[in-house]
Amino acid sequence: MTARPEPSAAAGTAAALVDRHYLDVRDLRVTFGTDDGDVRAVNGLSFGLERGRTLGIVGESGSGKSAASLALMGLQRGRRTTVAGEIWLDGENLVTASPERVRSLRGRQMAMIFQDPLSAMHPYFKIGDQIIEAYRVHHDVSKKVAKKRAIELLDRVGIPSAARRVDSYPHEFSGGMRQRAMIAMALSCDPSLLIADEPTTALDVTVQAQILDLLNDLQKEFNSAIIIITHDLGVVAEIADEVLVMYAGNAVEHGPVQEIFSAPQHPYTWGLLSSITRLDRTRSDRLRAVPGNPPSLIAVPDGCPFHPRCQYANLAGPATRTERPTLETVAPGHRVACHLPVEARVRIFREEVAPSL
Amino acid sequence: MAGFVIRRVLGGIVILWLISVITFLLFFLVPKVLGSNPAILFAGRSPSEAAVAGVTKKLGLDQPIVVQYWHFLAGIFTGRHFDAGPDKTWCPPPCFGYSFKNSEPVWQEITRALPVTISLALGAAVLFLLIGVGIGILSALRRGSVVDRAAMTVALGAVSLPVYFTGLVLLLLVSYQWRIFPNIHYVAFLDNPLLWARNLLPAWIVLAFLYSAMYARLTRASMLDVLGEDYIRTARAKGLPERTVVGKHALRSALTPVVTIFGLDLGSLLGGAVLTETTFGFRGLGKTSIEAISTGDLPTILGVTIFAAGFVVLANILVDVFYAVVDPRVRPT
Amino acid sequence: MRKHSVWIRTGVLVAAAGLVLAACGSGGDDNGTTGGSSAPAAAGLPTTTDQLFYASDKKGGTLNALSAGDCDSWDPARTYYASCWDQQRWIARTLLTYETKPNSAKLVPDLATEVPTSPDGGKTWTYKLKSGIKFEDGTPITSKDIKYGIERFFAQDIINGGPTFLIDYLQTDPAYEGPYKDTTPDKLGLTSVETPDDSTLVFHLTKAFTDWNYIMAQPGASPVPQAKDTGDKYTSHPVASGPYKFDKYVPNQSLTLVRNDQWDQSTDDINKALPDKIVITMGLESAEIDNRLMSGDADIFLDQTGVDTAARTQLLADPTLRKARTTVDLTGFLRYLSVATTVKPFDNVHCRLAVAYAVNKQGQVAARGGPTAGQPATTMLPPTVAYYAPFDILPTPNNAGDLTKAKDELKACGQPNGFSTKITVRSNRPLEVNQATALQADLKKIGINASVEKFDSSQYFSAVIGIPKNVQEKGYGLHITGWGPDWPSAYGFFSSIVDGRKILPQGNSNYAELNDPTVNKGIDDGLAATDDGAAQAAWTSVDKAVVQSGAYVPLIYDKAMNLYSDRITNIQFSPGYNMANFAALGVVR
Repeated sequence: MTARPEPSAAAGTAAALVDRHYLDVRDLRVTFGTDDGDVRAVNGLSFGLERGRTLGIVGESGSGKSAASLALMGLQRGRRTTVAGEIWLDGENLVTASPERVRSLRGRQMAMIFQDPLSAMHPYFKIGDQIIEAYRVHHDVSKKVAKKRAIELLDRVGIPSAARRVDSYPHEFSGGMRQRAMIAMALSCDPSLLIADEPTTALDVTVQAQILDLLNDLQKEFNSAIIIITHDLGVVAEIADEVLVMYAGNAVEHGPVQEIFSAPQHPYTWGLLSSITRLDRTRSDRLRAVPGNPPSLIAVPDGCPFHPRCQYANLAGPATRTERPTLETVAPGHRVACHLPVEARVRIFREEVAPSL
Repeated sequence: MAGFVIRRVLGGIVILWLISVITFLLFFLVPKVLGSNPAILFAGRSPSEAAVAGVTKKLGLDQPIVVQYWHFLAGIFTGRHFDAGPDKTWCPPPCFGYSFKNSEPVWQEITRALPVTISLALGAAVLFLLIGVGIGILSALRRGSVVDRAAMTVALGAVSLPVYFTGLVLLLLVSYQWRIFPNIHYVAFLDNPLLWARNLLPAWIVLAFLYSAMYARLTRASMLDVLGEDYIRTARAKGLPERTVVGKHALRSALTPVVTIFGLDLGSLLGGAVLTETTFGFRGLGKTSIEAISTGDLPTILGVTIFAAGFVVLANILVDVFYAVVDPRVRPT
Repeated sequence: MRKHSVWIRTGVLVAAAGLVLAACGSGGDDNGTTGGSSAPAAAGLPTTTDQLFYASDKKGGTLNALSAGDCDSWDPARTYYASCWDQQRWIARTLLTYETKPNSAKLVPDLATEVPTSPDGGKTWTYKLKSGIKFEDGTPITSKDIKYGIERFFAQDIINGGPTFLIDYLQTDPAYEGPYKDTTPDKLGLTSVETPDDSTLVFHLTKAFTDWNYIMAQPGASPVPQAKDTGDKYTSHPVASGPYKFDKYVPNQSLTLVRNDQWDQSTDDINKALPDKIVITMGLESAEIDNRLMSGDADIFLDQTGVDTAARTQLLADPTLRKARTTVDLTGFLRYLSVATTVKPFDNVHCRLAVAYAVNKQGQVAARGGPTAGQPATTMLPPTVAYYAPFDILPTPNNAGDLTKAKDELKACGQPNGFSTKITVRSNRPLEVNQATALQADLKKIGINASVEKFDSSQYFSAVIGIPKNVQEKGYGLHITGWGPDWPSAYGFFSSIVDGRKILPQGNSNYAELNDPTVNKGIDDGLAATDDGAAQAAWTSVDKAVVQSGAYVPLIYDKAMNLYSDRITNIQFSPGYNMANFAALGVVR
């Protein structure tokens, strides 16, 4: 696949049956039951993604981005966790599929890379063995064949003298090398969907760039769909084709990466953009993050979940306190959930936000 | 690895040597400082002066303490002769001294007590490992379930009850009330394996009751910690079946601390489960040492102490080696 | 000597009205409150068994016996515990022994043909052996085997732990050092014992000793075959001359005795040897011992020290079980307080008497568990011993102490405001610690501040109060202790503990270091007495002088409530061991 279809809104109509994306998430809801009440970690999330394209999901901690990605993998934990909605992967609904079926897809069709490669690898097992295990669980091959594959993969992700390092333990690798090894492990079965949860957060800046380059290269080679979960819009700018901004368990803005950076329409997205580190700005400007704290996911505010922190809430009319805004298409492939009138959003960004970015 | 093991063994030997010096000094020097003569202890009830003088000479108590210690230490490797009357008693190596209360080498006493203690410790260990670790894993996997809550409540109760209480209650019930296990006494395994097991079972149960509870709690906590680890999520993300995730990835890490504690527990159990042995009247190392203390049988106390310390030291070494084998991060290179 | 025995039977038994197996229920319980009379031996006093219970001649079965620990030794020359002496009778016969009748201290011949009298006032004693007596291996027992057994006592560096009477009365000059250093070819070099032929033994004592026959009833007067003597290892298999022999012995764990087929009933008027087998299980906790007796898993507790508090409570609540299965016996053991005459201010008799008056003996009894554990004592000699005579020369109301008299004595001592001192006690004897605490409170009332110092029992007698220098240096003024006689005569009771000439630098048993001319003379007179009246007068004068000295304060005549199985037979008290006569026991009713 070389063509890159524009992302479209999840229509939620019968037409979608024929017009389904490679990954199509519809009205996904993830709820953790706790003694204090239900935590609605993901609350009606919908989006689509094609192979060969990269989606960046951004948001603060607690916005539901990790919960959503784990739900995609079927890795939600606990007996009191429920997943509702639809997750279509290559025409198959993972929510209704048997756990065993989802397991067989995990690692093979969809794979995941985690934030801290040291804690994400088993300290007692050799790196090679962990890759071999990942490969053999889905492929009926001998250990020898699997080991050859592991060495190939380690070599491919840039581990020097892979044939020797395959027998090393995680603690013998540096942070960047470990993340490369994690990627090698994730790629062992040529997954068509790769989810990377904060893959560079634990790494220093130069290594971050190398890893992102590696992911870019690999995507070209394997034509996977990639979801990168991050709180760092800088990472998104570097690697993503489109961006989904999450707040309080739902998407507030979704669009092509250029559009999100050049013409964002949601006040929360503005806030995130303001926090991007830019070396040519003074410190006080740079760190102007979104004021206030994310809401509790047990008691999400009525109306727009963001309104208590939104400095433009007064311009949005009374509905912002009572009615949940829906994602509306404002440009091709660009959807925003905001009660502010479109003209106001364009004006405020142009006149008040953009100059300070 | 071999070097590591050798280093640890040598370290263990040094520790044992220090223990032997300290106990030797404690038991032979302290009475001297207090102005009494250990020979009086060995010379029977209201001994005559001639008896005390004779015993003093026979035991070499008139020699400098260093010489006495040297004879003791050398005896462990080369054996010693003791004057027994018509002839000399040969105390063959390993000669941990000669008990003048029992008129036999201390080693003989130890070898008699050892099978009792080993039977007790190993039987109980098998039980409490199976039950305790099993319940712990089950509880962790079904955290918050009725099974988990019930098991942990029972376990909390069990760890709070002292062995001499549960032991006496069990004895009263099974041995005297219901007469299921009447007349409990130690029978050697080789004499009658069935009776051996039958008579030890109540003691195993009592020990296992306590230790199972501790191990269930420990295993559960450890398992829950591990199940929350990132690498378990990774294992699941790879698409491994749950039994591989739990059985291979989680168990291996979760049982490491359990095995560590187990090694040390077994070491001290083999040194003698004093309360259980006393409650059930099994003369293992624990009861032997308690009795030796109450009768002032210094050579036996000394021998059993060093021997029991040996178990603990050995257990420590084995745990260290086990750690090195299992966890590559602490493996010596 | 036989006269003494007769006296014991008549004297003690007349005084001893209470009965144990059947009547201990009310008697045992009520005694404490009726006490306080100045004559503890008066009628109504519950006492030692004077009856035979569950008489039976039926043979067979296994006697399952329990003991708290192994014997100090199974070597007849190295054992010094009454219970072990009693057990020795299963395997070893002695020249003389005690008659098998309830509470009889009468000596009867065992290996000897008769109980001899001394032709010269106690210096020479001659015994003739029966014929047909054999060791377990079939070897005939000769007078030389008995002499050899006695010689072993002299090898004190190897064969120690037993009583030293044999050495005291048979040591020669130059000193004999035992058979192992004996240079005579047959190793029978002890010249004070002659064996003119294989069936005759003649003892030439170094000084007259009228109680000698009692010594010849102790395990030391049993034969040891020289060929089978293994020195200090003899304990692992003493060669049997009695009705049973060692079958399997695991030290500190168990001992199985089986019938000795070389023992001939026709040579033995004493032993009935009823059980086919005797199994002794050692080293059980007291609760476990009581449980086994209660359930019938065991027949007898050989230590005969009585049941634990829990079992006692249970038995007191169940009169039927109590009557059928228990005895409450005087143990022949006196619990007393030693007041060190060498520790200031107890060098002054009045300070000692202040303590004697201050102590509440009822409180002491209560501290040990009440009336089934003992009764207040006013004499040193317990009622089970020959020449016991009741008196109360330092009376206090209801034996509960007299503070006025105590304070008067303090004034006379020049310490009107009291002083400080130390009470020593065995730490692992909780009842003795209770006694010490009660005593501490009693003394506080007259201004004596006493601290309680606890010592492990293994050290207490040998290394703490048995070394006079230690007692003096540390200022241990008061010692909680007790004493049981080695044989049931007044001399046997007094010889080690009050004779001022027997104060030893170590291994001392005269803890208070009492050296009173009246006491010393009384002992000599008692030993030399040839008629009962003179002996009675001499021993009573000793007893009174000891009490009057304040150096020893009699506290409690010890009692034990003993529990038996429901099948044991022939339970009867023997003053020779101050407990049941084990040799008579059977298990088939």
